[in-house]
Amino acid sequence: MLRLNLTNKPGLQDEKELAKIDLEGLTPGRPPEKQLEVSETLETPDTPAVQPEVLLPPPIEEEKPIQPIDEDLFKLAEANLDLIEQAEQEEFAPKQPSSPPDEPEVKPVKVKQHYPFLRYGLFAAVIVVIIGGLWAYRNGLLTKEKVKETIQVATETVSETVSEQATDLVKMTEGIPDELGEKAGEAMRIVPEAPGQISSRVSDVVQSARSARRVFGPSEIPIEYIQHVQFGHDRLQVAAEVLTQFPVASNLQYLRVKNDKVSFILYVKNEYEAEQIKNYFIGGNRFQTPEVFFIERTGKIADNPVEIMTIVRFNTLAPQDSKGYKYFSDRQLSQYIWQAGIQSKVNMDPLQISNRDVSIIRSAQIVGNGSTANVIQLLNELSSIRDNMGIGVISITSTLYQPLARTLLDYKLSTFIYPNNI
Amino acid sequence: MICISLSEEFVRFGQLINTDGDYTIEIVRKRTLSTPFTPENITNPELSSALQQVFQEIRADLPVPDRYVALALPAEWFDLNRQGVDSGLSRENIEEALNWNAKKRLGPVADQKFIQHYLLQRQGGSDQEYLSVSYFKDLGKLFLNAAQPSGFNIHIMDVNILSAASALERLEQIGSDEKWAVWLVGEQKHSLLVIDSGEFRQLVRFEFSDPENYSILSSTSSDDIGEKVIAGINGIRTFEAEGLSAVDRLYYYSHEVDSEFFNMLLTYDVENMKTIDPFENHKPVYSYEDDGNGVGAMCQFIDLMGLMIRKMPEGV
Repeated sequence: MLRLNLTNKPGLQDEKELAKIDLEGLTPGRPPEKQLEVSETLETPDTPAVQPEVLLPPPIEEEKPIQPIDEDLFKLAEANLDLIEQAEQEEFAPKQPSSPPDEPEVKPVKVKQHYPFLRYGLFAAVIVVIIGGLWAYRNGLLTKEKVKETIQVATETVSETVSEQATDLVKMTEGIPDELGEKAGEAMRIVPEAPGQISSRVSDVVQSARSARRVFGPSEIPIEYIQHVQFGHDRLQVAAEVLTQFPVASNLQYLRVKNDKVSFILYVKNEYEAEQIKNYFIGGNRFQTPEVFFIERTGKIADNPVEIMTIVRFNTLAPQDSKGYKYFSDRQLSQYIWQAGIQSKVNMDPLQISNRDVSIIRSAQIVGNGSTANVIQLLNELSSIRDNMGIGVISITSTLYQPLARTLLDYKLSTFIYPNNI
Repeated sequence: MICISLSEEFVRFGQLINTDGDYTIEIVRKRTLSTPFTPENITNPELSSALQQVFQEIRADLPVPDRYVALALPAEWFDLNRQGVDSGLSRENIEEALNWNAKKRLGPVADQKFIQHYLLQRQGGSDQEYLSVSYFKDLGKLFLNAAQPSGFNIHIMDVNILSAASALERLEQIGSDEKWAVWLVGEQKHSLLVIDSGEFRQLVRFEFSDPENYSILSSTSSDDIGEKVIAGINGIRTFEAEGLSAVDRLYYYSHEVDSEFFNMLLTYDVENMKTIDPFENHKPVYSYEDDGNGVGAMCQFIDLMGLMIRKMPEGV
């Protein structure tokens, strides 16, 4: 490596001299062993040693430089960097696939499945009315009075029929035991999935009031991958939870979730608001004690002069059950993600996948923007899909020109798509 | 040896002592300059007196009386330029050619400058490469005047980012076949040094002109490697990229440890981008910890450590 000494003579330097390591200057109490060649421009004339007690001012009490960051917290943050790297290595290390569980696959029963019977009943009734009308017309019965009379009778008849069918169906739905639900789910599994069905199922998963009663079948991806998907879901939930805590009038510079760490820079109205946010992180079990929580009145944004910079680790929630994690092809996955974007009313670019080889773990990106509420909804939507995609890093940024209530947040989710080599 | 590293607002210093083969860092401290150390202030008498005062304060702080001084100064005080010379020329002709080139490059101010040329290790090609470094003679006078009242003799002067690279190369045991870079993170302007196969490749000054873009301010050559690294850094900054591919490793450090941007960088877990505590294995007897003692605070002394390492043989 080049070693400059700008006190040497001008012109071309002697590289051998520069590479030499000598002890000159390291033994201040002793006379120098060899006089080093130095530039006359910087050598102080050889004057008698200056007496410190005569010329020097008394030692000045060292001023503490401005340092609002909690030093101990930084120390902790830095000390834990090794742990972060270790966790990351473990997280993405290649894993051996495991055998699938033995339980039979069952699917939930959805109320929506019963609507076709009602529709068929209505169709049948309408056809009966039309045929009846034609018959009456041909037989000269279609005078104004008779039409009125016939329609009234037909309407009452159809209403009674449909009402009876609907009542029966509701009774049937209420009385369906779980075993029948499982059989229905199995039947659904046999039917090939069409893109349209995939889209509607995403919304079902999120919006179904019966989700607590859902029973999932065996998973189609190895358990090791499922854990990564679950960690990713946890990160999505944390990001959504943290975003929810920010005041709508605050300005967000960035929010980032990686591994088990959340960091963000946020500008709020006053120190009280900042303390409230701090209390959120130290108040519960979800987060560890913040490694850095830096609150400073910087005045960078006129309406929100107080800046918060935070690094905090979160506690990973206990894993959910590992059932029902489906392997989706790239096309299906894209449709699911896209549908989640539509549900959340965010702008979204098409899913970017790094590689075509479906037999390996591949990286992908979900990128777009949306209002704060919609981005929160997207994060929640994505965290509820039991798929073969794990969320690695969540980056959410804003332009700072607008508060959260009015700004568009840019989101970027770095993800991994896992193969189904079970 | 008293090692002193200057940045715009601060003076960091330390003392290295060799006692019968044992190397000890006696003290590491930081003091504030009352007048900014910027090229615009080179003839400002207040800067001269601020340096005089801080040198005297340094002398008062030294555990062992000392006069031998090594300095590291910011890159913006120097003009650095790579130039190639045909092989086969005599030493005198090489020097003459380099001086001629440097004077052409510097123009009318060439006579006011102190110019040196350093041979770079050959990296293929028939030409021999040299790094020409120049600085205004007034800078030398400034330090001579500042050092005299304290009785200090300045024996070594280096560019701080190059000094930091020396420290990193040793402390991180970077292989001679690696391409790596050092990024001095500033509040507004930044410096990036690229080292390829153990040798200086390019020094670039740049700034982030807005939240999404960067601007190159100066460069020691037309090589595009520096800009590739900067584009990679910008990608990480704007969350477009997760890693760097232009170099094997990137080390960053800052003299502005309160900088919001620098503190944000510390939160990024990019695999081949990091900073270090230069004193992790060489603990000073008296260490400065007013900015904290984590790697984010201690990295500000990397270039100071580079000056010390010049006198410390391998393995110490």
